[in-house]
Amino acid sequence: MRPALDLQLKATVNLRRLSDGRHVSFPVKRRNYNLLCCDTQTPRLLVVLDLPSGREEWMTLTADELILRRRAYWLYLGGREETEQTSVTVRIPTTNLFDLEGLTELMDQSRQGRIR
Amino acid sequence: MRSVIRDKEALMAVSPSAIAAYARASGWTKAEPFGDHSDVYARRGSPEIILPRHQRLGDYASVVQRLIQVFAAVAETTQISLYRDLATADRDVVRVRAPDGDNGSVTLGDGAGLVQGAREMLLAAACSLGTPQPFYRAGANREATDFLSRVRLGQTEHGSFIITLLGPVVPPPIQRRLPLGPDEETEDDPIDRRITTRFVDALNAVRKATEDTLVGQADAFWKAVPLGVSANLCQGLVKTMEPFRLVDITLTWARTRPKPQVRDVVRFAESDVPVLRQAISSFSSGEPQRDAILVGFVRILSRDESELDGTVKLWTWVEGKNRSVSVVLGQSDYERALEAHKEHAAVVFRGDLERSGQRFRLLNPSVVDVIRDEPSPDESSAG
Repeated sequence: MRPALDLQLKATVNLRRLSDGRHVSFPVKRRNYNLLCCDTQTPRLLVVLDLPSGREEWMTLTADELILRRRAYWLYLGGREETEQTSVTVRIPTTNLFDLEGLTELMDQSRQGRIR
Repeated sequence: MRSVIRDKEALMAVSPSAIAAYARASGWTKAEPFGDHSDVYARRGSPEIILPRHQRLGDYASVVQRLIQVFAAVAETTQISLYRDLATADRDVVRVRAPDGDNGSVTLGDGAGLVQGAREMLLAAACSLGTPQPFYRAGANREATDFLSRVRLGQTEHGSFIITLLGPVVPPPIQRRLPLGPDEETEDDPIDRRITTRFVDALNAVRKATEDTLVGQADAFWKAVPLGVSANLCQGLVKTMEPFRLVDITLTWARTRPKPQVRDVVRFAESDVPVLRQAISSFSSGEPQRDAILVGFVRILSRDESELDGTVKLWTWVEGKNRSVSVVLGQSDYERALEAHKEHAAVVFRGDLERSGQRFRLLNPSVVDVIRDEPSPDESSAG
């Protein structure tokens, strides 16, 4: 039963980079936001995949290679107040990369039942 | 059957204390905390499990669903069966089992009798906890009716025909002292557990009194009154079992407050019914109904010239019939009764109504009121 993560996966061609250079922002609908905020036994994460604007660039599949362009970022919203707004725009640190190293670290943390 | 439980409400109905009690009873022990909401439990040769401490988790239903999968696999049982165990693990559960007639069913009347009889037995046991009496009037004990209002009727089960009554939630003890002795364990128990314990003790006492009566101990039932035996308990039992050859009554103790034995079973057969009826009659005839209010017409008056007190026969409604009740009145009340008789007026009496066989007497009587405007329904027969 551990380690485990529950992921809310989203993808966008409009990921906004903030002027501080250290964050991206992403609007989350109220229902999804509130589900991500509540306490859960299995940690829930928002994972946002940054896609190129051209649909044909999203993925390339040939006999030699499979190419997924750009990358994904994760954010843990557990413990935040629920919202009544239609949507909430969240700031995601660009250091929260959802790559092999990041996922390994997240799985290690989930083994203790909390994400820092 | 390989059913999987997906009903969120059903899964939410399983309490954390029930899950923990089940896990502990099955050999899992707490290994370490998991966040600030759960605990990791381990058992040699079994998968590690994570038990929630409260139900406010957003994924509580899916947590319970996963646990049911693990528990069912380890116990080599179905998830439905496991769910039933968990859903009732924090309650004392009464099961009344009767042989089914056909296809796992009984007639509607017989089924209703099972439920009503079981209810009366529980109420009688609850009433007897404070003041054991051979007979109780309905609603006389607030604690007992409060307990009964929190008992739930569970799903019927197969295996003959089984009705289930779910007692109120039994909280885990604050400090458990081991080993638990039979006398020690009830001392700190909550009222609900003391009532269910009383229920089983009283049924066992009925069982023994029935056997003792059959071998000639005529006072066996009266001696069992301090253990919770009463006319009401016997009446409930008769109502439950009358249509059937035999009835098993099982009490499975809440795992949250375990007893040395997982369950207690008391069995009755149709041959017990005549003895129970005799006990009901004996109990009911001896116990006066306190502070009874009787409204009726005075029919016969008699007073010796040398006496101030006089006796009247009151024609009134008792136990579903018009009956004559004998009342010995002091001088002033006798005079009032006499006036009322002359005027064909109804009289309101208060007193302790005692039954002796087919006769009724009103003890400690007083005339509360005389109602003058109502004509006697049976003037021609008034003496």
